[in-house]
Amino acid sequence: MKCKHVQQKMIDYAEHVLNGAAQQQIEQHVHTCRECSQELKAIQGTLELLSSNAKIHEPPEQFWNDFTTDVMRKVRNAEPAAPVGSLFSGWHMRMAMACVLVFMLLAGIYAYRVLRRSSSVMVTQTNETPEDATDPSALDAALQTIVPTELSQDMLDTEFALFDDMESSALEMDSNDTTLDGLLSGMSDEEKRALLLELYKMRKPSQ
Amino acid sequence: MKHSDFELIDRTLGGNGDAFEELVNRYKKSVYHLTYRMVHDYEDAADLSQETFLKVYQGLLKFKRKSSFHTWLYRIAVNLCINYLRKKGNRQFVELDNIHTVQQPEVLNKLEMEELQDVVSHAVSQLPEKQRVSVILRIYHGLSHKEISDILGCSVGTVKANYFHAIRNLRKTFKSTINPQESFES
Repeated sequence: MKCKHVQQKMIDYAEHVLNGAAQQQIEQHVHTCRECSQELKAIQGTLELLSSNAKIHEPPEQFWNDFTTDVMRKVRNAEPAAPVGSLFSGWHMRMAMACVLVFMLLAGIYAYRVLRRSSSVMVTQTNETPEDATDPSALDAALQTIVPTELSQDMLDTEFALFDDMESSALEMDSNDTTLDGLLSGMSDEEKRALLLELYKMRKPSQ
Repeated sequence: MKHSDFELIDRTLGGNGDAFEELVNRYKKSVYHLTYRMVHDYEDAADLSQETFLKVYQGLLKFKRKSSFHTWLYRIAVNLCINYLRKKGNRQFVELDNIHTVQQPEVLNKLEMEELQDVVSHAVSQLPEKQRVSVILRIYHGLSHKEISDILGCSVGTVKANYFHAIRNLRKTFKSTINPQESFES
């Protein structure tokens, strides 16, 4: 196993979330490689430092009692969560529903008239939005609007090309290939597509 | 008898105020800890935590139960904190270096420990938004990448990438605190 691949899985290793074989591979490598051993110690030290900071100043018991009291007071003063049992009871609710029905009827009549008037105008929507692109072929089509076909295929099939031509700030991180391919290698196709969809959404405003 | 979260929600929607109070008592500490770690101010954390429960109450009917209640609750809390921080003025990522020279946190005295905790808290607070949330939810709330992705409304890959870079950034920040060369065994 190469140092690069080991270091990409170092955090998972330090958190013991790798499967047995992968955990063992890294363990063996780390025992024979000074650079990776030092990297592992640094990662473990970072995680330990973070964990050592787990405790925060705990407020006194009275704070928690007051907290619940305050929340419940605000809840009682707020718009209620509309109890199911009372949803269709009470004269005011029936009146409100009647108003809604009348409004819907009037809106329906108005919409029918407008549609009849504009029936000669064809409106077509050709640009698929990312939100619609829930199936793989739609996403492929969406991707092709921002990258060449070959690259979009690469992005789906490989790990490196995924971040080609990406702004490094897009995911609030330094997305250089050497650190990202290890992360991506653990992803399913579905996860890669989901990530691509997010990247697509982020890029769209600048297109 | 202990009721499940969903049972308590059903009871709340049925008009039982005590049921919602039980939900508040069940989660108030974890929500407060989360908001405190996000905003680093006790009073603001208390306000944001209360607001979280209020939003939860008002949104109970819209809660589709596709995720666990606590995932949904955390999502509301995180969103409120992010909005609060954005209004307050987004902090820029600043790499801190050589801010500390200690190497073994377990042998520090109380004062040094408090100082070290301040340094760690500060370093986490300086991380970019998604990295910060990923670290807080993973390290301090023990959530999986999948749970965090549900809370943040993004893919598992994004969470993994942000967490990875958060740890790498913090590692750089803490590099003077950690001395890895001492314990190499080969």
